[in-house]
Parts: sequence; C-alpha cells; structure tokens
Amino acid sequence: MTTVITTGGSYTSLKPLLCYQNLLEAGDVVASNQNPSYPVENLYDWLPYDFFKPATSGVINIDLALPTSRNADYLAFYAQDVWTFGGTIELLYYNGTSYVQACGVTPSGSSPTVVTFSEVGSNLWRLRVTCSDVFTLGCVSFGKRMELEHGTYIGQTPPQLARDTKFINSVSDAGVFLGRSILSQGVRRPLVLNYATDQFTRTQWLDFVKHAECKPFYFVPNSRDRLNECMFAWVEGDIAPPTHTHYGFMGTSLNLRGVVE
Amino acid sequence: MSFDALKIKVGRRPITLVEVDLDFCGLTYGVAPCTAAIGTTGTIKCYNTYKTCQSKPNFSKTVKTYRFVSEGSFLPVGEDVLPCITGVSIAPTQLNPRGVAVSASATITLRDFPHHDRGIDPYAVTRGIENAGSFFGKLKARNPFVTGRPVRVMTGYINNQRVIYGRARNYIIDRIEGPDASGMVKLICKDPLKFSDGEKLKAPKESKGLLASNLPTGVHTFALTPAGVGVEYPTSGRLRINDELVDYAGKSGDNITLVTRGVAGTEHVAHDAGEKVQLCKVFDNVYVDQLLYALLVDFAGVDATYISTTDWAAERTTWLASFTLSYTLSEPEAVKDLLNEVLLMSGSVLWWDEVSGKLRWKVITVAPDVGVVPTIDGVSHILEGSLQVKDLPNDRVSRVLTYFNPRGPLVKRDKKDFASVSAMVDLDSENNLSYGEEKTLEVINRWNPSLTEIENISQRYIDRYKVMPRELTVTLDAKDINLKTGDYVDVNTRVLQGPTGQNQPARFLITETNETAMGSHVQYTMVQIEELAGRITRLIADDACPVWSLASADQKATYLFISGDDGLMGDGSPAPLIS
Repeated sequence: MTTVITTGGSYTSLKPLLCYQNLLEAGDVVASNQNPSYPVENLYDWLPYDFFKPATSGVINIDLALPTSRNADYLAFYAQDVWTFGGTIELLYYNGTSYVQACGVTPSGSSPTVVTFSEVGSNLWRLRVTCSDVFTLGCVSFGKRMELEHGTYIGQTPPQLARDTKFINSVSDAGVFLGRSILSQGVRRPLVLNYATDQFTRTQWLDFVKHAECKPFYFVPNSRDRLNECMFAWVEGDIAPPTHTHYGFMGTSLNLRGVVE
Repeated sequence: MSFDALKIKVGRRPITLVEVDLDFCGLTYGVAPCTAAIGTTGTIKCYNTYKTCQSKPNFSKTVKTYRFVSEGSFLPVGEDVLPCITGVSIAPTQLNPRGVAVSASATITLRDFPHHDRGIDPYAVTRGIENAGSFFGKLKARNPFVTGRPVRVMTGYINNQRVIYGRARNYIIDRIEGPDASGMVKLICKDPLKFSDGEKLKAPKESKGLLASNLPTGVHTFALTPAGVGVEYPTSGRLRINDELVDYAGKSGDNITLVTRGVAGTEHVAHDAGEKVQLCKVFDNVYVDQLLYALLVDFAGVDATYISTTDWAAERTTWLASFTLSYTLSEPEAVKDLLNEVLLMSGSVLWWDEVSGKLRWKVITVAPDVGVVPTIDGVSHILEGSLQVKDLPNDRVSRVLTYFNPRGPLVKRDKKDFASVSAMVDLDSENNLSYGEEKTLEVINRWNPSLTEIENISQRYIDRYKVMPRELTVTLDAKDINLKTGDYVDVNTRVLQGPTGQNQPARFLITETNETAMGSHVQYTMVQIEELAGRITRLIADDACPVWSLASADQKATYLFISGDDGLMGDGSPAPLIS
C-alpha cells in the first residue's frame, strides 16, 4: 500500500500532483559514506534498477549544495528496502544555523511514496536515512510539486486499480485447476488535462512536458482524498500537444505507464 | 522460501534471470603489477577487460557476472539486475537413442538501453569523459571474446519480498548478435556438446610430422620434418606411416627411435621421404565411459568438470561392467562420428543436462534401475489440449546385426571390413500375424570381439524396440518442472488403453523438455519404454543395501528383496508377488 504522509502543512486540495522537479539534479550531492559500486549518483538518475547503497548501516547523510536557495514542498522515493529494516527517511534543510526537518517518514512498504510539506527554501539540503542495516535506495526526488488546476475524476481509473496484469492458467485434461502464474506489467492509465488555462499550460505544463519527454515522475491523481495512491510513472507513446478545447482553455491526454507497488 | 515452494504456489510470479560470466581483470589501472599509464600505454583507462587491457602480460583474469531479468514491474530491490530481457527461446536437448543427443541452445533477446556505466566500468565516476553509447554496444566493444563463457538461464519466481528463487539451466555463449537498428540484442548460447560436433575436432589430432628421408625396411630410426615438429609427439607411443603401424620408445628432438615395426598385423614395408607420421591413439581395455570421457575431454575440449565420472562409472558397473573396448585410432576421425559409434555399439545415450550442468550418460534398457518412478495423469498433471500420441514405426527394431572382428587395425566403418556378424532376431514381431516386416538395426563394432557382450546389447535393443515405440507429448504445469530429460515417468491417461478399454499406464523416457512458458508451462516429449502391466524388474542389490525394513522407498523399488517362507517381508508387510 502506498503511503503519503503530509507534515507541517495543510494540503487539502483535490487536485492531482505531478512531482517531477528534482533538486538533487541541480547541485552537488555527497553521501557521508557509500559503497563505491553503488554511488550516490544512482539515487537521482530516475532509474529504479540501480540504487545507492552505503558502506555501513546507521545514520547516512546525503547532502545537497545548491548554487542558490531553492524551494521544496515534496519528497518522493521509490525502489527502496529501508522499510524492511524499519528505517526512516528524512529531508532536512539548513536554516542558517542548523539543519531542520522538513519531513520524515518511516516507510511501510516498497511502493512509490510522496511526502508533502509546507514550502521552505534553502541552498543546503540533507537527506537523512537512519537504518539498522545496510539499505538500498533506488530513486529519490524532492523539490516543488506541480498541481493541476482541476481534479481529474471523470473517466479515469485510479492507479491502484489500473493494473496491467496477465495470467497464465493451468487446467488439467480432466478440467481441474492446477495453478496460475501472474505477470505484472505495472499499471496503465491516462493523464487527462481538461480546462487548463492558457496561462497554466504555458507556464507549468510545458516544463512538465519537457521533463516527461526524458524521465519518469510521481503522479498522485487525488491529493486530498487518496494521497496514498501514488504512481511512479512515465509517458508511453507520443506526448500529444495540448489544443484549445474552449476559448481560453486547453486540454490534452497522456498515456501513462508505471508502478504502484 | 524456496524455488520448490514458489513453483507450486497459486499466483506465483515467474521471472527470468540470465547470468553471464565474462572475463574481468582483478587489478586496478596503473597499480602494480599493472604497468598501464595514461599518456604512455593509452589515452584513457582500460575497462578491466582483455580487449582494452594496456598491460596484457599482467591481465589478472577474474569473472564479472552480468545479470539480466525479464521486463516487468515487479522487480527485485537492491539487486544488481538489468530488466531488459524481452524473450527467451530454448531449443531443448533431444535425446537420440542412436547417438549423441541433439544439442540444446538458448537465445535470449534483450533490449539495449542507454547506460551510465556505473557498476560496470570501474572508473566510470572518475573517467571524466562524456558517457555515450548503449549498454550492449559498449559491452561488446569491451568484451569481444565471449565464446565459451558460462551463461545461466534461470527460471525463477519472485516472492512478495522481491527475492528471486530460481533454477538455472547451464549453457555457454556461442555469440552475441546486435544491437540491431531497433536496439535488440540476441545472446545465443549452446550446450558444451555442440562444440564437440565440429568437423574439425578429430581423434587423434592431425600430426604435422613427415619422414625427413626414406625409411627402408629394418631401419628403426628416422627424423621428422619440418624442424621442431618433434615437440608435438610424446616420448613414446604408436605411429602410423602409410599403412604400417610402428611402436616407438625414444625421442630426441625430431629423431624417433622405433621399438617394433609392423605391429598389430600391419605390413612392415619401406616408406618414402615425405610420408606423414601420424601419432595414433591406443585404447586398450577401457570401459565405455572412459572412452567417452577421453573423446570428449582430450579431443573435443569439453571441460572435465562437466562430467561426473562417479555417476558414469556407476552406470557402467550396473549395465556394462564387462564390456571393455580396445582399438587403435590410427588416423584422425571426427569425434562426433566416434561418439555416435560408441554410443550405438553400447546401447547408451549421451546428453547435456542443462539443469545439473553435467553431461549425462545412460544405458537404455527396458529394466531401468530408477527406483520410485513418478506418475503423471490427466487429472492432476497433464494440461488440457496438450496431449499428443504418435507411433514411431521407423524406430521399431526386430533384428540387430552387429558387425565385429575387423579385418585388421586400419579398417573404416564399412561392414565388408568385418569378419563376423552377430544377428539377433525377434521372429515374433516379424511374422505376418504381427508387424509382418523386418526392421533392422545395423551396428558396427570395431572395439569389442566378445559375442556374448554383443548379444547382450543386441538383446537390449530388441527388448527395447521390438514393440513399435510410441511418442507422447504433454504439457505440464510448472509445479511438475522437476521432471527432466533422461528421467523415467509413468503415464496414466485416457489415450493409453488396454484391450478392455481401461487406462493402461506405461513407462516413458523423457527425451525432450521445453519450457514453453517460462515458469508456467513445460512441454515434455517422451518415448514409451514398456507397458507396466504384469512386469516387475529388480536389480540384485550391492552389499551396501540395507535389509527391507531399513531400505528406502527408492531402494525397495530398485532392488530384489526375498521374503520369508510366510510370504512376509522383514517388517511384516506382505511381499510383492511376481505373477
């Protein structure tokens, strides 16, 4: 089950979240220790099959130094086994005198997770993982989340329900059920943008599209009622450009594929 | 958790894992004994592969294992696996009762992808050059020498904790094709027997020495030419010069000192300068398994670790304990032809067992000492729509003609070169009230002159093939995947009926195993060994076998135990009756 924990703020919007901005890609990242075969670069390359792994257990600090102060209001991660050891993942920022926690979570599973918090700014950030064993952490991002202007209920399937699973059944010559294999292909569902204002489409959607052309992102369709339904997603097929559907409003649809578990 | 536990679980999650072992240098660039230095031996650091090595005399070979898994969303966490397998096609080994098995092969199709080199290139983070290219493009450029390296294709399952439990099939790399224009790569693998069937592999190996001068009769010394070729000859042995075999016991440089000329009944004659001096391979009273081992390891280059000499010796002790072989191979013959000759002559089969990673050898009889044989049926095992039965009329044998006692030591495999022939005939199956047709198996035997031994093996062929063999093809669920090629299995299905219309179970030998849906369905091809009704065969137990009450189920099903006068076994159970 995906867990989304909101701390330090009151985010009560129904609107979908797209979490793609990753400040780790914008500065210098140094881990307090690392296994040389699994360097910290693996943490923010958006590839879930490789991972960061420290050389030792305990408290591991991954420090980010940015050229200038940047704001953040979300932390997201995926492909980790911190949860199997009961470890915690925290994001801290430097307030001029010390590192202060922006958010913290004890993951309960390996599902993609988004944590939101009140927007803060700093040029020094710290990801702190406290774990009793040597852990692996595949994908981490944090930065400014993007929210769509409207909810997207109509005609869309929640990610957790959009499972693309194939079955191979075994039935005997005498008609007895002998077994089944399941082949999980993740989830597939569209992301529909309706009634987006000209302004939003130009100032925010375009930046997202530029990211989505290259990399995955985190998608939460209902950030108010279903915060736990988070999808580590990427776009399949072409990204259809938005078109005017009504005067002053635009729309488009993307085919998303991803994982929720 | 285990592979066996997961394979029977409803809702199991199959995953294919392929492991490739490639050469990798254990040294660090520029650190002694590596003498490489940027600006001196190269412009960039190596990639710790032999191709890119800048200090080749110091290359310290270790193994780097590359691990690939099938594309999917439920993948291991914290494992070094690259999810890029799009398909696995396995052409399974096919048991051939008349010779070497058809080799297995596996083709793994992978999708190429951009890769940052971290975890692959030991200097990726510090190299300081722009990362370019694709994973397999770079892998091939850095590792062009891949033929013969091990590959393990693992059928596995991933559990809820995302840990893979699998069972490997073992192959060796033949080649890597691609990446092609669409970014696809094919990893083509073979089994080690594939490399023994090359026409270039000969036993004995071709000798390069020639007579440097004429060799008259009565002369026992001569020199070899070209200069230096003497190193290819051992210090003693048997040679063939034209059609004369000679034994020698002295060698000094290129000079050979003969002990005996005209040995093994060959004619002692003069030879001209330039005649080829071929080193012979003499086999003297060796067992079948020992001969096969020598052909495979010494002449075909098969890795000795692929052969369990203990298992082979046990098989020989049971079935061919007194069948010894003697012959001098005086000119190079294809190893593949020799293997086929020996297997046919001995009534045995040889195949690559992908699961154990061993070459297995078995004597085919109708009385297999197989212990408890598993049974499959149409209720709990055979999948709907998968059952096919086919008669194999061309495999029936009603008479075995074995040509033996070769007329001299230099004969080819031509039956007119043999002085004797043994004919074992099953007239019952040839008469007009039966099949009404002769089906003859011809066997060439250069190696053993014993009529008794030959008749024993001929009788096995007759027993095994006098009834027209049936071939059965079935698909089973992966829960039954532990059955494998070379195993015996009893089949009870509606398509195998007796005269009354009741099911008549029969014993089959699995000749082919093909995992048609990895981790889900397995197709088996099998040939009938015998009908089970009214037939019990048991071996005489060796000294190590315990009494009935202490024997395992396997031992009870394999060996002959004697009951008491009261018809009870040692534990008080009623004795099985031979009716």
